[in-house]
Amino acid sequence: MLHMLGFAVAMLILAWVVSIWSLGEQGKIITDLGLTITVLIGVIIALFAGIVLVWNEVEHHTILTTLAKPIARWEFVVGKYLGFSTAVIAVYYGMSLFLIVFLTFFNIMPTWELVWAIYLSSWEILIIAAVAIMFSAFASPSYSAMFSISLFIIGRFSWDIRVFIENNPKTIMRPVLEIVYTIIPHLSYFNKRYAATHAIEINWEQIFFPTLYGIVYCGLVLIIAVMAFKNRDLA
Amino acid sequence: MKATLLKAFFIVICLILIVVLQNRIEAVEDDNDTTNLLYVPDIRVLHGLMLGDDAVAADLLWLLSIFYMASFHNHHAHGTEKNHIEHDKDVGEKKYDSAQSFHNIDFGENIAVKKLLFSNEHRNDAIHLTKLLNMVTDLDSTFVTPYYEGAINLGLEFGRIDEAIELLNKGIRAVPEQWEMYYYSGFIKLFYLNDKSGAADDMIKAAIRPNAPPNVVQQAAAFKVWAGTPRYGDRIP
Repeated sequence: MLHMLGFAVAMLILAWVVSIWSLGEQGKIITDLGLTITVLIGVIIALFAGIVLVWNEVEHHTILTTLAKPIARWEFVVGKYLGFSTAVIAVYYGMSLFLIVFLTFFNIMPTWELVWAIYLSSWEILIIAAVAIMFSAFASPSYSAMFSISLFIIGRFSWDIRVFIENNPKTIMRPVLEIVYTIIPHLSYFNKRYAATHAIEINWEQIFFPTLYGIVYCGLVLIIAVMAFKNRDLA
Repeated sequence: MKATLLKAFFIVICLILIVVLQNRIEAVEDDNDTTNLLYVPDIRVLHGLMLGDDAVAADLLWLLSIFYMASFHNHHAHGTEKNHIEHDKDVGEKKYDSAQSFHNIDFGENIAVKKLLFSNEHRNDAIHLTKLLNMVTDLDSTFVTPYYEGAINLGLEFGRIDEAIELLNKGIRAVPEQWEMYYYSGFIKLFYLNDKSGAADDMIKAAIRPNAPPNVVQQAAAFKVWAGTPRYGDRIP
């Protein structure tokens, strides 16, 4: 994780170097690239560390030692998620803090929109961490990576699916698309980076409801993970 | 020890070869090859590639536009600096009735400038730049700088007045509260189209924007007087 943190810092410095040639739009470009880089690195950590988290324990039979104690399987999965997500979020907020300091260094004062954009993006990471752990509970890392990355990409385009359904109401794919649209994580709800860059006001509903959605979605994914893990043969 | 030295030696040899080959390849290729711009993907593709972060795609394309404008300027200014200065002088002194009349300017002995402005290569460059700027502003419609910096370059460097004004109008529709778009639209209308009245109107619009600097108000007043309508005060708060 520290390597990734170092990589993020290097990318932010690169963003600054690139922004020098932006004809007076340095602040916008550093903010845009900085927010995107920090979120993507957070998601990458959540994905690639999350998909081996439970699988490693099962594969190396270290889980048996843990479960020999009075710990239920669901507690194991939820505990793994809570510990892991705390670590990932700590790295993410560390990178974000560095971004804010970096921006302040260039006389770009942090706005509330920037703070809310950083906060909402953290839910994107939390959901992806939950999804990665869910797949890790019953699939091998390669399958987990494939499924989690697919869900991340589809989740980013959830709004496009909605637009496609509305623009093509008579398509025979509509029922399938409606189901897909309902079950995928709507990661676009947490993307307020545009508002942060252009100082567009974010109201409380745009913060509160996505937060609630994030909590409920993570809960749902963890319930599925617990159910899948409950019947798994650990021997 | 010997094996390590041998490995280090091979690494150094490889690095030298890489540098030599890079120089060779770059020498063979045209130093102003703009055909790469033909392969800039459609904005829908970019939307997909950037995983929905359209503003970042806009930033990167804007940087590409800047490099493109700068490389074009450097390439064509090379050896024709005198012509460029004289061309700028022409633009400053002469007033053109329309974008078409700009093509009929008597360049006198500055044939090189005329060739530069109206060659096929130049037209293609302008088309690529216009496409690029439209993509930037489509991806991030509230990104103000590409509208006016792009329009200035399209007008001054490429002589594409219609495209420049179209880009500024697009900016006015997207971010009507910004003064820069009206301001540069006024200048382009005055210097290239000799449209004093239109230029003065745009300047007034720029002056009444909330964030317009005070000198824009003064310039708007001067434009209005120049356009023959000194009673500008009724439109400037």
